[in-house]
Parts: sequence; C-alpha cells; structure tokens
Amino acid sequence: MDFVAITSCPAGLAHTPMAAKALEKAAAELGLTAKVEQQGEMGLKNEITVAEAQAAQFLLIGSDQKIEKMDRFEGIPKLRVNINSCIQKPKAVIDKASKVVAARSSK
Amino acid sequence: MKKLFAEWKGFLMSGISYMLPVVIGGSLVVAVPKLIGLCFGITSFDAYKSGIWFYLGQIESVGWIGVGLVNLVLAGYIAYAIGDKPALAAGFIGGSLATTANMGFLGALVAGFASGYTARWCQRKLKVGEKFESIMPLVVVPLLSTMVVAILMGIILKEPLTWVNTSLVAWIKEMSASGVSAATLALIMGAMIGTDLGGPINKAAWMAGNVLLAEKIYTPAMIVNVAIAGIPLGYAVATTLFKQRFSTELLDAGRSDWFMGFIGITEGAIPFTLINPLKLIPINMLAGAAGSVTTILLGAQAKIPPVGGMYGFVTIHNGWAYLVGLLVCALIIGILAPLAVNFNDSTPAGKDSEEDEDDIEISFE
Repeated sequence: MDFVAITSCPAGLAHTPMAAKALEKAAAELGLTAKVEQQGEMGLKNEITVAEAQAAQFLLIGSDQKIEKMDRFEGIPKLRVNINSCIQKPKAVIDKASKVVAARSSK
Repeated sequence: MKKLFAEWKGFLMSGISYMLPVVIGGSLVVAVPKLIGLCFGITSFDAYKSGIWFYLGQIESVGWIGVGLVNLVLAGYIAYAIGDKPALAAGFIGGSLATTANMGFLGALVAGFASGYTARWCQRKLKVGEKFESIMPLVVVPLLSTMVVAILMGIILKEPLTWVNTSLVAWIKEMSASGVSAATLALIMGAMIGTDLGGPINKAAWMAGNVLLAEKIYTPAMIVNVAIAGIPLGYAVATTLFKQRFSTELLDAGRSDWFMGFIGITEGAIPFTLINPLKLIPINMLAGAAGSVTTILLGAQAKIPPVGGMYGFVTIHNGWAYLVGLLVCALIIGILAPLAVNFNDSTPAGKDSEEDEDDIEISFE
C-alpha cells in the first residue's frame, strides 16, 4: 500500500465522494496503490483497517474537519490538504504529499 | 494566523455537520403535520384536545424539540471536534445554557470553543501517573471543562452575550421583516452562494443561514436554499436545452444535477464551472442573487425552519414564490451559461498533465 486517504466535507454528500474518486483515479494513473475512505453523512465508507493503515507510507486527509478513528493511524505520517485541491488536481496533491513525506523521513 | 482561522472553520464545520440532521429532522417533523393541517385550513393545533388534530399537534411539538436542540448539538460537536469525547459534556451543557439564557448561537459558539480548548489543554498538559490515567477522560476533563464553561458563560460573559445576541437578533429580524432589507440580504447571500460553490464564501452564507435557525430567524436560510438548489438545476436545464454544447461526460453530470438540485447541493455545479470559471462564476452569482431576490419579492416567507432543496417549498409560506425563484435562477444559468461558454472544446482546468503543485498547501498533523 503506497498511501491511504480520507475525504470528508460538511454535508458529506458531494465533495466527499468526488474527492475520493479523484484521488483513486489519480493514484491508479500514477501506478500507486491506495485506499480512500469517505467520511460522509452516511458514516464511514470503504473503511481503512488498522492493518492497511499501518502498511501505508502516509495518510492523506482531504478535509479541514474532524476525522473519526484517528487512532488507526498511530505512527504513520499524517498530512492535511484542502478537499478542493483533491478534486481539482489530485495527481499534484499525491505527488506533493509523497515528496514532503520523503523529504521529512530523509532528515 | 491563517492556519488558525482554517482550523476554527474546520471545527465550526464539524459542529454544523452534526447539527444539520437535527435541524432537518426536527423541522420536517414540524412541517409535515403543519402541511396536513393547512390542507384542511387549520393553522394551529393548539385548540384541539383530542382526535387526529390533537395527535398531529403532539407530533409537531416533538419536531420543535429537535429545533430547540440546535445550540446544544452545535456547541457539543464543536467541542468534540477540538477536544474529542471528553469535551462533549461541557459543550452540551454550555450549549443548553446558551438556549436557556438567551445567548443564542453566539453563546453556543463560545461554549463549544471554550469546552473544546479546555479539554484539549487538559489532555495535553495535565500529566498523571499511569494508574490514574483512566480518571482523566472520565472525571478530570469533564469537571474542568464544564467548570470553565460555568464560570465563563454562567458569570463573566452571561450579560454581554445575552445583550449582543438579543440586539443582533432584533436587528436581523427587522431586516428580514422589511421588504427592502430582505431583498438586499437576498441579493448578497444569493450571490455568495454562487461565488465558490461550496468554498469558504459559499459556506459563510450557508452557515449564517443555518445558525440563525436557532434564533427562530428563518428568512436567511430560505434565501440561501433558493440559490443552493437553483444553481445545479441551472446546469441540468442547460444540458437539456443545449445538448450539442456539452461533452458526454458533462451530459452525465447534468443528469445527476437534476438530483443535486432537487436535494439542494450547490457542488453539483462544480464540474461545469471548472470549464471556464472566469465567465461562469459571474453567471452563477447573478443567477443565485436573481433567484433569491425573486423569491423574496414575490412574498415567500419562512414561518417554520425551511428545508433545502426543491422540495423545500413545502416548508415555505407562499411556496410557489420559492419555486419561481428556483426557476429564475435555473433559467438564467440554463440559457446564459451555454451561450457564454462552449462546454465541448475546453478540458476542465487541472485535468491535464500540467497540474500545478505550488498553490497546494499540505501540512503535517
């Protein structure tokens, strides 16, 4: 697993799935394996398991809201990004996230 | 500083996202019996002591309980967003105090943030031995955060908050009641909804509409609901009227925009607006403002908490005016947008390979 991501927006109806699909598609195009969880009004969709979380390089949060069950991601780098960026330029978001994570771990 | 504001906005949004189902559930349960009554010419169930009208009155009063919980839920979940589970208690208590002491949504915000930050401070700064760790979330954090809320809101801020809230409410009530000011309000809020479709400006207008529900001021929420539903409907209309101007992808998006408009999600307009934001954002703003102001000028009034989406008209007094407002908004976009922009020939901004990384802000948690 290259990375896991969570998307969430206030209404949980429009942005959340849009951003999740954009990230999934972009990850596939970049040849990365990823799992994207949606935290919308319907609860957790495509929930990331602890094992998957721990196997991931980093967690990308596309939201500025409260995220549920953060204890799953203990120990892996966690990044926050605006949800609109995930929709508009998912590839760039993933690229940049990978870069900053790599930069930090090499320090 | 900017980051702090973004964080605060996030907390507020979390609170609102928990509050919304409560408002919607409550106000619909108020609206349904009221509507049934109205069909038979009954405006109030208070006079009935038995029979079907009595029972409908009982159901309606349960709905009002839901509406009355707004401050409590808002404060509780703002606190929860900041300080996790142990912060909920103080948030609920403070939010309830905000309602009973007439401090309104301002009081709820203060309660939420005060409880949340106190709880967070306790969790980060107070260290106890491992033996006593379990008493932290169960006793210490709830005690301290509730005490802070009690001192802050029960004593220090009680009078100023009550004063500010009552004056503010009186002022907005006056604006909503007088036709001219309500129309101005509609122009501004409708345009705000159209600017960034789910971004900060849109959500500012939306938040204003929603938090005022707790004060029993319903006009602003009705105003934003028109623009919110009308804009995606506009693109649904556009794709129906001018099929040849749209790519197949967008024709699909247009079909789902009927649904988005029906339930009231402005974000449905995003895929279209991205094609040419410079031309389409002004059209969205114009349409939002025009739709909202039409609804007001035609005499729509919100006497019970309005519900968003196209079907929201059932909760509006003079509901047809709401529908006409939607139609105006949808037609402006439906006709102007395809004339101004050919949705066939441009790829949506950012979908091509030259995605720019520079303006993406990523931060570590």
